Amino acid sequence: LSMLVPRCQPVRILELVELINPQLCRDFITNLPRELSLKILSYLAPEDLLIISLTSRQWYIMCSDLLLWKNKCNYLSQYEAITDSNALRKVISSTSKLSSHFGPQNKFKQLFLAKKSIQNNWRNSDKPPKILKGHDDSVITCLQVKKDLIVSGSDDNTLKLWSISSLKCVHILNGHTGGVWCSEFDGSIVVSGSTDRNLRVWDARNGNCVHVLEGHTSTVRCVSLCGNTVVSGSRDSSIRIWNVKSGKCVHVLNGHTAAVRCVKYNGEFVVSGGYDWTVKVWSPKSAECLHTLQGHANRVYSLEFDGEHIISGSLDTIIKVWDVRTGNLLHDLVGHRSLTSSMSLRDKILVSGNADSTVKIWDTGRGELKLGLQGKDMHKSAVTCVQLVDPFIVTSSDDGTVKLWDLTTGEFVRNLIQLKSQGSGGVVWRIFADQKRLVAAVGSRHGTEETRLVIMDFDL
Amino acid sequence: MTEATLTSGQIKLESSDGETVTVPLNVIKLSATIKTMIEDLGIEEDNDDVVPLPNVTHVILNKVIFWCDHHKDDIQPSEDDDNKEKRVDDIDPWDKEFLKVDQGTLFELIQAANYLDIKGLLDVTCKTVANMIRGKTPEEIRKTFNIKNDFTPEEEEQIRKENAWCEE
Repeated sequence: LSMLVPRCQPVRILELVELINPQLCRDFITNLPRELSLKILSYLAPEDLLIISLTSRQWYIMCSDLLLWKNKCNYLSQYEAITDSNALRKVISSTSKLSSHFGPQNKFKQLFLAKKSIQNNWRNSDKPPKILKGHDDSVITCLQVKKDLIVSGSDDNTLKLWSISSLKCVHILNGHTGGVWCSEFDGSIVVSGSTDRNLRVWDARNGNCVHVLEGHTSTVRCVSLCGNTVVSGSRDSSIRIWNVKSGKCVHVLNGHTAAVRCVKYNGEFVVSGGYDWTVKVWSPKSAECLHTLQGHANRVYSLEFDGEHIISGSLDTIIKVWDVRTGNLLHDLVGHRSLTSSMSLRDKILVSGNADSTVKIWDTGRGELKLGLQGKDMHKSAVTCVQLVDPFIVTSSDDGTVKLWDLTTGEFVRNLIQLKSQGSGGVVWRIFADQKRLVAAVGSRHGTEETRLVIMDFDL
Repeated sequence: MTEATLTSGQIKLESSDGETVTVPLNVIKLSATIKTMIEDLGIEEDNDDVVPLPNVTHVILNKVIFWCDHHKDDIQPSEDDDNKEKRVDDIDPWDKEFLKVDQGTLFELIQAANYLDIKGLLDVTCKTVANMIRGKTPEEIRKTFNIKNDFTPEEEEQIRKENAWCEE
């Protein structure tokens, strides 16, 4: 052969190359033992698996392996929300024809496809939103959504319970004699706090007021509900722990020296932030203050708590990360220029919305800024709410818009809501978002917009 | 056999094509298969016992030993690593160079790493193949690995429809 090749014309050698090259090739996915082929495929992203499954029948079969996809969908909790979705039903019906050729369909792959389809709708869908009008010209101060039900609380002294499927107000919760400033909703009961100094417990099924929780001597500014216990913080600088079944006050936590602005309760700890510049950690059982976290140089307005770390946002512009058990300060997150009004935490990723009209993404484990959401599309005025809905961030603002951002790159995706009077009084006060939908409480400062709920459904 | 002998002695391996290779125990200990053989079967080091490896040719065996020698002092990957996020951009430059081989050799290396149970080598060879696949169109993959498209046009159309849910 070594004598022959040098004598050949280049054209012949090229032919030879084309003849020989395939002989050097190996079809790894078809010819290796199954578990090794799957190991190779396990290093590929789901999107890659879909594309390369078009290579050959055997590749399609390997790329549709159930366990492979189960591991790709390892955050199965993310998929719970779409196990009952229109998108999944559509995927299943459209892929059913493949079953006759390649055997049973892979439910994890279908979940992935359905999730992708919903994400594409977040990015692109132009389906007009649904509107629920209510609370006249008053401000909506708080918003909760559970399954089909929305609870909106307002400074018109009422809360309203809405059904998304029927697009109707199902109950008006009447009773407070002052504006409602905070509420919690677990799907069956609503707890609300008001400037009338009381909390009220409501039955979501019939809208009846079950208990009036009396005791605070000033506005109830924040509540946190966990199981049968609700914890309230008040402008009277105290915190109260209540049993929502009995309607009795279990403990009064005294220690803050000014209004309590934010409170979180997870069943184990009560964490509170106040206008006295401190964050406090309490034991709800012994009613003891376990730690007073000092360091902020102004009022504390917002808290996130994952059971381990406390994140506090303050008017002093700095966000602080604390260890709940030791009370130690772990990190100062520095970069904002004003009040951090809203935060959203998942794992060690924190999104913060600030009155300086910027949104930032932080790594709370390392104490580092990961990304700032900026550019020409940034909010024009104070950010009112942020919510992390993987792989997106949804943000709302006093500028009358709700914006969608890419969590990984920080890139602006699009405006989900743009009020007609954006920039001239139109305001988005509160948002709620889960995998499939967005609910926004919108209105205006000078009567340029009707107060209403805007509902966007991405599970088409 | 004690841990001390595992770091000092030598052992003879016989490839499928009948060649005998002498290899230090502290190198070949990366192979869980051989480590177990030595420990469980009581094969003595430094004597004439030869471990037959009927699935590995001497060419591949020498490459495997070369790889093990370079990695003998590495911290061993644990099974837990399998549960972590799969990373493929972390192949060390030496391995990258080592794995610049034809597909046939890579194929045999994967099989040898699997048979000898050398986790590090299996990981890095499988990652290398994954990197050869990533980002290619089906047509490019067929060309790269000499694969025939055996779908009926109807099947291909159905799969494209299935994938369309994912497109933006």
